Amino acid sequence: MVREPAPVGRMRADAEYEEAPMVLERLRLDGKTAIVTGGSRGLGREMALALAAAGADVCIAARGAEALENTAAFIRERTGRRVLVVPTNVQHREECDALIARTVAEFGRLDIMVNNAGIGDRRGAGARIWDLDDADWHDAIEVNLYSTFYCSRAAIRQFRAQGGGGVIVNVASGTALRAAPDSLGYAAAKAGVISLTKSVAAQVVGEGIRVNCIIPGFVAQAPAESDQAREFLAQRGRFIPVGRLGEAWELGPLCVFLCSDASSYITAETFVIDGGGLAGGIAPTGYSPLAAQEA
Amino acid sequence: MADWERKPGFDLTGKRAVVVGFGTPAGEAIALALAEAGADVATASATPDGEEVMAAKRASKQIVELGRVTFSQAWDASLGTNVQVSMRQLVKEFGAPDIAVFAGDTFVAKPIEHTSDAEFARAIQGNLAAAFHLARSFFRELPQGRAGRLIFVTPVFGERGLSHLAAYGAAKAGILGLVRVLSQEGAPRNITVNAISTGWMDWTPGRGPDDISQNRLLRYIPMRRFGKADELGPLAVWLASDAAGFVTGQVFHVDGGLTAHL
Repeated sequence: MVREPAPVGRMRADAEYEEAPMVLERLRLDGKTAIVTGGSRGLGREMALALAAAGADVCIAARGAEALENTAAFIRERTGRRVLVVPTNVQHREECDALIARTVAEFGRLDIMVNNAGIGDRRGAGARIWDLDDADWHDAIEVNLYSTFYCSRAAIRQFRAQGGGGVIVNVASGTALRAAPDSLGYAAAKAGVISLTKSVAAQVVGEGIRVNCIIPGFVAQAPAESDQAREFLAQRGRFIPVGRLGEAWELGPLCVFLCSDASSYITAETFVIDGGGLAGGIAPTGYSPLAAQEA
Repeated sequence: MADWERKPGFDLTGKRAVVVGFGTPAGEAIALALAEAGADVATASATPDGEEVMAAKRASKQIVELGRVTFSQAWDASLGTNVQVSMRQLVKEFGAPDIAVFAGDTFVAKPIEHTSDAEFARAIQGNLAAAFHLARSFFRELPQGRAGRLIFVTPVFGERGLSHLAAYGAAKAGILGLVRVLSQEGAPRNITVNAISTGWMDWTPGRGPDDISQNRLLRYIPMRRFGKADELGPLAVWLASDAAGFVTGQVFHVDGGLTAHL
């Protein structure tokens, strides 16, 4: 894959760390171990990279072993951290349990669980409700919501067995907060993820476990590699107040923040990262009542 | 078997309402809907603007034609004393209202760099302070033991950002703050406080033409059209009714699906 190295927010390299002010020290994840599901591509890949850059050893999980190995090699090369690869279908409980067990066996403990795996455009995408069959509906809910439940439960069992502490970051979607006519099941599942975040956070708050949720808007999974793709992204970007899509790497710094002690008093919270979409969305980007009056 | 003590959801017989704000068609539509449902309805302009005062008077005439008692006043709702004195007069001449509707609207649109202190103050006074003044006088004058209904009509711009509405949008957002606070403060007295949030209505300034081929704004409205004033009336009647006594602190959207649109 040809691409520029991803910048990892404002995170400092180890060498610069000694001079970093206190506040940035709290963002370090040295000695921590993390799992990122859906970690071979897109947002998951960038979050895994950012966590490793902040000092964590990282286990990445996804279905495809080859993409996982490529990403693991990339993260190792960029950060020097240990990267474990566990091919996993998070739709299945046993595989989620095995993922956590394997990580603990390898790294000795678990501190951070990032539930990022999810699929928006699988079977059933675009289907109207009168055409949507049971299997496609179940598929959307299982891969996007059950996965979060299975992995959260397994991770929290491990956190408790370790004596408490630990962080979960769930990844939902802006579609959960508004109408998403082309992805019924996906949006409903993601709304479930937001709800699960809050309820689980309240259940485990007494054990020092924090649970938060990132809600991305439209985010490009990878840099455009052709003029056509660039044009497509630019078109989509015109519908977003800041005038562009998000870029996958922009999830990295937020993920590090939520996984680190820098967010020690933050739990059950949702973080929207959408270029201003949810704050507006009632008129075309840049629309002004003045301009319309004059026209 | 015991049965519920059911209350009518769309009958306001024996109730008294005051509707403040006739600068947009919302005030008139709601005043007439309340009257049609059986309430006696007083009307008041929210500003001394001649056209708005006349609109309030015209609405009063139609209320009489519906066979209800009415009373029309010219208020300057931006001034607390004016509102209090007017409300006292209203109580004396018409009776204390059980229902108060604020539909005042002072539109200010400008890039923030060019919005003067006076323009900002005008937006806050005409929208937020006016709503506050009405609420305060309504709370003061509602007899102890009587249930109250306070309804604010406010556009979506208080919840969602739109360029060049810094003063106006902030003022409207403030009204939603009033709704949340007063819902708590009014609850022990059985005063419910709610808002009707309007989307792009057929009087919203700057909305452009009604033709979707010429106005890309319409593509942001799932129903592909602007809202009409008479679509606000039934919701206001329900909120004002005895059946809505457990509904408070809420914001209801009449917007053709606008705020559900991603």
